[in-house]
Amino acid sequence: MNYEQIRASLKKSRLALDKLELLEPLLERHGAADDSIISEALADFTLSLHHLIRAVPEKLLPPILQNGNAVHVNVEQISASTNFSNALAQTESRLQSFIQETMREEIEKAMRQLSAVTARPAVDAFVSETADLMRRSEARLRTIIDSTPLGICITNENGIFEYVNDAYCRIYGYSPDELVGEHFTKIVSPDKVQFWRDLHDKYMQMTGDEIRGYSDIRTEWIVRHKDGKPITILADAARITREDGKHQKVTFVMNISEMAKLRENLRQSELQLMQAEKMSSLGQMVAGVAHEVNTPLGYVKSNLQLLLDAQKELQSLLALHQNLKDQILHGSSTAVAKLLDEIEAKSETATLHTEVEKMCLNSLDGIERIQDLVSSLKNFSRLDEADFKQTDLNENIESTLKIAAHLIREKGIKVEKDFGNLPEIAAYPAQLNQVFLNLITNAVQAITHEKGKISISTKKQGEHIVVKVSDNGTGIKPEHLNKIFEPFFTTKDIGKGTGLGLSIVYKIVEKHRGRISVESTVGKGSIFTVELPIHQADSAPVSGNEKTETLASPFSDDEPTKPKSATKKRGK
Amino acid sequence: MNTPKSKILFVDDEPQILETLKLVFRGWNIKTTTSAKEALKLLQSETFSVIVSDQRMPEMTGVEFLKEAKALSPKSVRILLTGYSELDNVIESINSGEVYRFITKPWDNDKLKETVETACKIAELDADLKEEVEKAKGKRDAKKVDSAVEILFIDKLESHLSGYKSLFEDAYTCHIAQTIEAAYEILAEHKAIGVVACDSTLASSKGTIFLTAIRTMYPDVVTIFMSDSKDAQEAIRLINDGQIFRYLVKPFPRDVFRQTIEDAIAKHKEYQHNPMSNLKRKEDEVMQAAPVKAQLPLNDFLADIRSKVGAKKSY
Ligand SMILES: Nc1ncnc2c1ncn2[C@@H]1O[C@H](COP(=O)(O)OP(=O)(O)O)[C@@H](O)[C@H]1O
Ligand SMILES: [Mg+2]
Repeated sequence: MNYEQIRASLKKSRLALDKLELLEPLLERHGAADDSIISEALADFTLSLHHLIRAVPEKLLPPILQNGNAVHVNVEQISASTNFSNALAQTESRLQSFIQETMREEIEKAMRQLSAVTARPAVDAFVSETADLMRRSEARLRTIIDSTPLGICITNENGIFEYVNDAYCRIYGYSPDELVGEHFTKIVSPDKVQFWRDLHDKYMQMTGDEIRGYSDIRTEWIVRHKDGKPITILADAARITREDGKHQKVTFVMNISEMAKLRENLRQSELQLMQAEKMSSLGQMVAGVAHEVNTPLGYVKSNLQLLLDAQKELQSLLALHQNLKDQILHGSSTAVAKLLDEIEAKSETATLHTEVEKMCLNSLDGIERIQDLVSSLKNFSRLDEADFKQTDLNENIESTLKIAAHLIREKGIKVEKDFGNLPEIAAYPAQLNQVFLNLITNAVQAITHEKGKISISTKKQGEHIVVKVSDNGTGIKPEHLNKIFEPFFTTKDIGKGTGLGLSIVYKIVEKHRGRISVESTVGKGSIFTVELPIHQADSAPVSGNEKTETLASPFSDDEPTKPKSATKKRGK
Repeated sequence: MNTPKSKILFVDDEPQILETLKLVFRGWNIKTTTSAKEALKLLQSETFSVIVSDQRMPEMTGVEFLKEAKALSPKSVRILLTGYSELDNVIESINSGEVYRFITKPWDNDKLKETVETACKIAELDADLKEEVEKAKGKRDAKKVDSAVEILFIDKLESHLSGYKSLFEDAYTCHIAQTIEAAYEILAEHKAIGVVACDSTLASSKGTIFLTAIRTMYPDVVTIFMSDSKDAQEAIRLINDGQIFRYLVKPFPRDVFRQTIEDAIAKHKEYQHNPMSNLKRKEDEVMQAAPVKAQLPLNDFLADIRSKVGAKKSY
């Protein structure tokens, strides 16, 4: 008996059968347009079958196939008629049952013989090989499904688990027995059962077209582990249709809790760093402002102490004069003469009171300076005003300049202002101040020579307001231009730069639906241009994180988390 | 108060400050300028006993200015009068400018005058008190001058102490103390100690007052403060009350520490050879401060020093 040939023919017939199966949908779609392919496939199949049967020793064949009957199995007759697929299906099933019959009978017989008579290794090998092939391919599929970290479950139209793989069980912390046969809402938090039921029902009732366009399921969800802990998953689903026409839902889930945690940590540290940048610019600002306040305070206090001294001088002079008056009215002329001398001498040394006017004027000046500074501080932070309001940009820039005045003066930088006539714009003034302060601070820091100049211009251009902040500082290297808006990009020493300034600027401008761009020449200087729309499309500009947070549900579990907006393009 | 003859230079970019200072120091021999550059030019042609400078100025910072001024006129006593004391500036002024006082605006006229007057006297010592120098030299214990300098490290942590010690024990005799009390005793016992490095973690206010006390008792001992709290006020106290030599911010590289200690030892030797190079000694001389004897129990002694510091009429 030629086992090799049997095996080869068996494989070949399986292949041919596969091919026929593959051709089936093609035929359904195109009609029987191309029967040559079909007949070829059928011929292939028949031939291999023929080979198979021929390879099997005649005595092993069922009686009806003995005596050369096998070769007469008639399959060629099937024509590519109108009812081709029907015919094909019939043929196919006929063939299948034929081969199954053949095989089963033979195998059974072989087994019987095996146990009855001596060992028949040949048949044995054949039998186990066949079974093995089936087992192996099924096992392979199972291994794949069970070893994938992707959780897979199949639910029926009523939402009952029909199948769950290992990963699915691991993700939720249940055993397969605890899930299969149960409603899938077992794995969601009790107050979300209805939400998920509705979602499932909706999904199952959709038309094929709707399903294709439907992507709501394909997102992140926060669900519940058996132990009650929330887990973040990424899910997707597909709907399949059983032979009986009923739908099943295959759900794929991936546990991304670790990733979500990392992302959250990242967000937290980003927030902290933002805070650090704010604090560091705040620290610098406080240092500057303290110095700015303490300077006038220094001479105001000193002047007041001097005024006290002057007052004492005057008091003693006054006392002398009083004495003089008494002596003139009632005393002796020698006493008068002596007092006059005394007054003369005192007036010569006690001259502080002649400076009183200057001291008072200087002090008033100093107090005005402090007052001015305090009010621009207030303007700068806008603590007492609504976040979002009609804003006069020129005024904002002015008060920001006051805040930065010490920085500018320290370096002996000249500031040129060219402010246009601007309409008010709807904006977050405190945040725009931050933008201007960061741009001005950067400009100041970029200037390393003594002829520093910073120009600030504002103008209305169409529906936008254009603010330009330019400096004649070091400029930015071309290879840095596309990096400067990235968080943490800095060319400055530790302690001087955090690399967050411009990324904050970028965020704020983006929030106002504006644009920022930069032109720079190394050695000549840089121009930062901010364009802000005069009118916002809706009442408030693009909301930042804080807005989405208030819209989100207060409950942390089961809410789909909003996917983060895709990376945005930077200014040029 | 008799107005000193010595010349004083005030530098501040704020004209109003200068106008007020002119009134405060009316009758004194003063010059004022709003420009640090101008001031440096003046220093090339004239000698000033005392230089008082603002910190934040357009052309250069006060610390930078005083550093250059020190090079041009090493005998002038330098004072910073500043609107805001950022720690970095204070530390730099201690470590590089060897500033006599750090005064913050707004100031008190009397205290300011008192301080400047003392500074003037200190500067004058150099000029005309040769015999004082000799006298002070005579006071010294002759054998102490040439004996090897010993070092005292004060830190709460044993591990830190052994770390410090290991760096220097090959070259110097090192003492260690984990408490102020222990340090007090060691100092009384070992007169050869010339450098004290003290960690800030030791009961902070006690630690700083202790360094001040050391300078009062042993003016030639050079003190170094090692801190990880960035406290500008503490640093200002250390300079104004204790005239510390260096303020190190932890962590610092070993090399820096090694160099600092070596510099301190050199400074100590300089003080021994020429007591009048010691600002603290000069100050004591000027103030006619009675030599403090370390006989009181530590806490009483510190309380005594503290009350003396508190009662100071100057900065
Ligand atoms: N006006 C400017 N001139 C030159 N370089 C600039 C200017 N503005 C920003 N830069 C460059 O962009 C980098 C990032 O700026 P920024 O985000 O504000 O961070 P930081 O100022 O803390 O370094 C700076 O380190 C600097 O190299
Ligand atoms: Mg910046």
